[in-house]
Amino acid sequence: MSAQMLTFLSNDGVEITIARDVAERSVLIKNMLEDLGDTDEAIPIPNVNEAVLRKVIEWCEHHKGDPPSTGDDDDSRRKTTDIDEWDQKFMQVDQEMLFEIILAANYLDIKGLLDVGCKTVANMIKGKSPEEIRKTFNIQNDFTPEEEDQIRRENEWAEDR
Amino acid sequence: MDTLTLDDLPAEIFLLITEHMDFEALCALGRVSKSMREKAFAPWLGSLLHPLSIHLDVDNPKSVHLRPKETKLVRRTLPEDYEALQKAQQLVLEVHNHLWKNHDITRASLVALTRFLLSNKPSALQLQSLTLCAPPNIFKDFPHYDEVVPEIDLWDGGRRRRLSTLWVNLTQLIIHIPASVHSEKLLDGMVCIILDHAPRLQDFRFFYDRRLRHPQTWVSGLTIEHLAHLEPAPHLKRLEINDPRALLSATIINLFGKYGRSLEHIAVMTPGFNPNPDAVNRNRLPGLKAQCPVLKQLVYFENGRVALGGPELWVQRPLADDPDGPLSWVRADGSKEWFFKAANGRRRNIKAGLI
Repeated sequence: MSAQMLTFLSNDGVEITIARDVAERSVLIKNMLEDLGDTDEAIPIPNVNEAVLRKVIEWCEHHKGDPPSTGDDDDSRRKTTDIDEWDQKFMQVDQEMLFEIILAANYLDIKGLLDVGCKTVANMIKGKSPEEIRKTFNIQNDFTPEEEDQIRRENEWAEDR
Repeated sequence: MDTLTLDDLPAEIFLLITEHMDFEALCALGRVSKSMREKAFAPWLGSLLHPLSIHLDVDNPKSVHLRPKETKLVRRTLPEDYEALQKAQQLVLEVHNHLWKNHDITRASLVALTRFLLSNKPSALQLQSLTLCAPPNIFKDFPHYDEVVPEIDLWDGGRRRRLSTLWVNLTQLIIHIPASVHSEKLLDGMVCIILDHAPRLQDFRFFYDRRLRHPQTWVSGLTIEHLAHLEPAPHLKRLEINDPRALLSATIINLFGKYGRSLEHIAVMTPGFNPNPDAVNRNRLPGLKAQCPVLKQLVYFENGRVALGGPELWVQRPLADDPDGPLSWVRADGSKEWFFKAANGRRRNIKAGLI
């Protein structure tokens, strides 16, 4: 019988124990467990620190009853940028944490979480001007005025509405 | 430790984020910084094609088909597909010509195609064959696209000049006029520009389709009129036209006078209009044959429509479901152009006389 609880080791040395069905929201971990069998040892997660790992686990626990991803890169997943209310609140974190969650979801292969993270960033960009995007993400404008003019002329064929 | 920023995300994740962004957001993102522009450029190009999707022909990598997508927001064009589109020598835009319905799809598709053409340097494209608004094999009902492909004045802001530079290598142009008058005008304008700037064009085919079930429906005839007066004229070897007024109009005389001697294949039909075959035989044919030596056939369709052609564009073959039955006239190349399905879905038989 497979173990019901698993322990993970974050890259900053903290052990966290969670239910197996929660951990298996991660395709990476699910496959790892299938390959290695049961283990009592802490499973290292070398790319994720404790704070991010706890956030990822929080998401997995909330979504543990969701139907598993088929793994298909299907269109239906991309039809909308709508995010459900719980996920919206979950993603109300500072930008660094948001990007860390996205990277962790990508590494651990948690498609639902990766999708929510990408949608959140996309929603932070949509409807904003270039200057507003710079302010939101603290990006420096490294275009010269001449380059900006050049870009506008290059794109005007397609961008004019 | 440095703070993680949007710019630090790996390219594959950045692409996932852009898949949830619309055209305007991608435009804005590309103007934020050099790095953002570099990362957003490929998705931006792909978004220009919306609502079209790219379909590659595995047997002919130089042939690319574009079709409207079935949903508004679906996966953006993949970079490798977009690259194949840029390298296409044969490009086919497939849009259903359904009468009175979904005509905004045709216009949106034409606008998307034009955006693609205008966003590439002429030297980057290698188009030799272009087919516009070909009916797809399978009809699917599409949502309305007005919201996702807003209006654009294609003939303003230097676009006309830019569009005219793309057709130097074009040898084949096949046009299926869409059902909506709105789209027809757009297509007329585009085709006239292409004709003006395609000196190597050898094969021109121009088809009206379902609208001609309604003979009273207005059709512009602008493109055929333009072809008849084109200077300098391309050296056409194949010309196919179905136009409700073709056999009786002065335009057809001009067309035969201009292109008749160089043509190796010719077919002209008057669907949806019933000229008296005897009158065509008596009044038009001798003059047309004198101007176009390859003209061989006068084909009478069951409902009185008439077509002229030659050589070998139509052949007599037994019907597929009755090999021992009477012969029927079919197109030699097996294509379905000019066949009109009856209400019960079966093809109408063709009666023909050979002259």
